[in-house]
Amino acid sequence: MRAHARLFLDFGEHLERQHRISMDGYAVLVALDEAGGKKLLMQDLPLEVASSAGVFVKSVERLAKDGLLTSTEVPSRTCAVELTLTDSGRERLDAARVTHRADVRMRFLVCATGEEQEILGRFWERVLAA
Amino acid sequence: MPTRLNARELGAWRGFLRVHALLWRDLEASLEARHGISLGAYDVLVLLDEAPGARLRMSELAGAVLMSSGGFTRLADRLCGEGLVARERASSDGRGFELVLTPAGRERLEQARQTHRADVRSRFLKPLDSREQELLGDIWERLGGGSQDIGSV
Repeated sequence: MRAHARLFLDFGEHLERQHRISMDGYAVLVALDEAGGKKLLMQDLPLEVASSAGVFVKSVERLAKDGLLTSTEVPSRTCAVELTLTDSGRERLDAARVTHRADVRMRFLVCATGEEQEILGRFWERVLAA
Repeated sequence: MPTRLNARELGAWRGFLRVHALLWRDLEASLEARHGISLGAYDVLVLLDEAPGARLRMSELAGAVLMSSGGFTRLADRLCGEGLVARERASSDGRGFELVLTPAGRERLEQARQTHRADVRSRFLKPLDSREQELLGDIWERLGGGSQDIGSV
């Protein structure tokens, strides 16, 4: 858990310094980008996004304030909020991705061989399915 | 070097993020429900228990659990309020403060440890055979997490 915290902290500082987005913010933008332009409900964002509900809401508010996503309440559903990636959000994400992928390679993937990465991937799937 | 992560790299990295998020939520919910402490608080109690004299400087502890000073001060206040730790002047030079594990803190930790270890075994270690556990330990060492990582078991 501390290994994760150390990586999360370092990667977050790097993203913040170079692209003015947090790790949670980055994960939200990735999820929206992978939705292929579709709107996503807040509760449909993937598991790895945000460590707590409070942090998550703050991240979304900041991204909306910076114009990187739009956040719209769904009139037909109580408390439902739809998020959409804006053009500036996609542009910021593309730049941040280069930084983040390089960090993931240099700090995480470098610690495991290709074969070990495959074993890790299968192991995580088993833990998630258990 | 290609910019995109390939499927194998993505599986290793994203799986790590997802498993961490899932385990953090489950392990913390279990500790909160049964022992009234967060995973962060549990980590602090474990570090104090392992320290000589069961005491550590506040700044050292905040660094070890990778929390901001504000977040750590709030956590320390809560633990002090519950009588699980005490805040005392640093014994070595009288400058700054140390947190000291109290008998009530040690008792709560011992109970929480049973729950936490059982949770880690059933939620994380059970799907692995011993060879995979060794491999994971090796990778963690290379990552710098050390053998005592995985939620300070």
